Formats: sequence, structure tokens, C-alpha cells
Amino acid sequence: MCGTCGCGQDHEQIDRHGHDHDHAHGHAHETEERRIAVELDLLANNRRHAEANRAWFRERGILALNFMASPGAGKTELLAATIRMLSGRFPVCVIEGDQQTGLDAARIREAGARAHQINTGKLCHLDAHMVGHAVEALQPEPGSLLLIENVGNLVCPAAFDLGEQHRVVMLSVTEGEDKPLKYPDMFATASSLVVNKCDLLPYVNFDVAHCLDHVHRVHPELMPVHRTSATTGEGLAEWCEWIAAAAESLRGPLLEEGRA
Amino acid sequence: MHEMALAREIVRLTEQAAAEQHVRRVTRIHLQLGALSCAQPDALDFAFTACRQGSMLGEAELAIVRKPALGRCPDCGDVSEMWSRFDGCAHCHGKMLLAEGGEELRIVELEVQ
Repeated sequence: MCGTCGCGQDHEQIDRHGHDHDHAHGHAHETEERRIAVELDLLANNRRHAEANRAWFRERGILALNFMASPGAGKTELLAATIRMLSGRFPVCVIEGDQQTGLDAARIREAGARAHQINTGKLCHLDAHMVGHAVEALQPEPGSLLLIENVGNLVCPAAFDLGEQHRVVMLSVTEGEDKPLKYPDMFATASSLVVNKCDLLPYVNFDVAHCLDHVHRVHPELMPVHRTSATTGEGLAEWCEWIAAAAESLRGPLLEEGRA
Repeated sequence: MHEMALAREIVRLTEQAAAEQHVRRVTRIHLQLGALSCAQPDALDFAFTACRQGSMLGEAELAIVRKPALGRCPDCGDVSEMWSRFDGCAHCHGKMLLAEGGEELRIVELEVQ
């Protein structure tokens, strides 16, 4: 077989035949084409990292939530309010994803949680590999709550599993009730929905029921829906109870073993 | 523009497969793209053209084949092809379908020299 390009039969010993390779031995290298059947999934590498993260969280009874929304939907404010309400009950760590600055991590630390900022630079989403390194840096305690604030974007983060237990998609009532139809992939991959800035409902043209119809259209299975306002505190108690129940179910087995 | 991250993965996976198969040159990459996947074909092609620079993929082309999801109608049980999340039932014209598949982002064949 030809040692340069792998062509020819195995029994043809033409790999050391003492002349340059621009020769003619019955075939032309430049034009010989073949097809190779492969099965290469573009998201497989991310999925491997996500599964490793998920296994790490499960082993330690950590509830990881991936928050996704447009810029300005109120993610950081809702996270800060959530930390203030839950930090007495659970250790809380936050991974902040933004293209630039550590501003959000600073707001989270002010609210009383440990935070790690990922600056994605030109990238528009977090991936599971970045989150794995952030987790290494943060070392969340067993039985804790890990809140991951994705880059503000309703398109790109939809494709990337981070190893979270829940994908929480937020939209605020100032954004328009047709967002689920405009960004169907994001809403289709969600496992929980937050409708935020509900204190502004009297001032904007936003029908919550109409919006939920749109969500149902792209996400036919039912999922938990939370109506919140981080400013007035509306809906926050119910929202935090939902998180606490999910966190307790993961932490329970650890407590029994005396590890948390 | 997460297509840039996907295009980089196309280059990485193809280079790896080419090295394993002792291939010198890849001329075409056949990619199966599910209709409900999160990637836009034009944007992926554009990003790939940028990412192949300086790699062994040289002038390799990306041949994208879109693949529909199969959508089961909760009303009549019929299965229709789905090219978007808003496609309805082809049989009873029900408005909603429950999608199966359609999220493929997979290199299925390499044309090499």
C-alpha cells in the first residue's frame, strides 16, 4: 500500500520504492477520490462535558440552574433577590456569563453569594467546558445551589447543555408576549419559565395568558411557570420555594449519609 | 452567532477523522442538519468558510442536507414531516405537532483525496 496517501492494496509494497512521489504507478494521486462514511455529532463534545458536570453535581447533591433570557430581562436582579431569600437555607454560588466586565459578579457578591465571572469575549453563550472550569474555581459545597447566569441572548445558549438540572428561561413583561414565537428554540428547550417584572403589567400591553399560549405552542409539555417581580418581591416566595424543593430533593440523600 | 462555535467543531472533528484515516485532503463535508436544530444553514456555511482558513481543510466545501423532524399529531395520531416548530398536521390540519428528532447536527460523510 502507498505509504504517502494510503491508496492501493495492502499487499502492494510501494511505500519504499526509491523515487519521488510525483510518479505514475497506475493511478494519479491528485484525482483519486473516495468517500468515507462517518458519524460525527457537533454537540457530542459539549454533551460529554455537560454529562461530567451533571455527574459531579449529582454526586454532591448540588442543584444547578441555567438562567437564560434577553439582555435586560432582569436575570441578575432576580438572582440577587433569590440569594437574599435563600442564602440562610442553602450555600449559594453563582457563575456569571457576560461578554465583558465583572459587574454582574460584583452585584451577586453584594447580595451575599460567592461568584465567578466568565467573560466569553466574542462568544455569545456559555458551554459546558467553560462551566466545568468555573466550577473548579468556585468549588461549590455539597448540598448547595449553583445559579448559572448565561450570556443575555435568546438564541445561542439554546443549543448548549451545561449539565444543569433545569433550564430556566426568563422573559420580562416589557419585552412583548410574542417572544416565544420569535425565539422558539429557546422556549422549546426550557424546563421552567419565569415571567419577570410583573409589577409593570398595568403599564404595558402584555397579556400573560396570551404569552403562555405562545409558550405552549413551541413547548407542548407543561412546565412550571413563575410570575415574579424582583423589585416589589411579588411571586418571589413561591419561586424560591420551587427552587428549595428541587434543592432539598437532591440534598436529602446526602444529609442521610451525613455528607452535607 | 453560535454557528461559529459549531463551525470550529466541524473543522476539529474533520481534521481528527482525516488524521485517523490517513487522508491528505478533504474536498467536501456532508453535514446533516435537523430542521429543528439550533443552527441556520447560511450562517453555518459562512462561519465554516472563515474557520477552514489555515486548517488542512483548505478549500473543502460544506454540503448541508436538511432533515425534517417527525411530528405526531395529538388529535388524530398521524405523523407529518416538520420543517419548523409551527408546522401543523398534514392530515387533520391540527395546529400542533409533537416533534421527534429533527435536532441533528452531524457530519455523515467526507469526500477525500
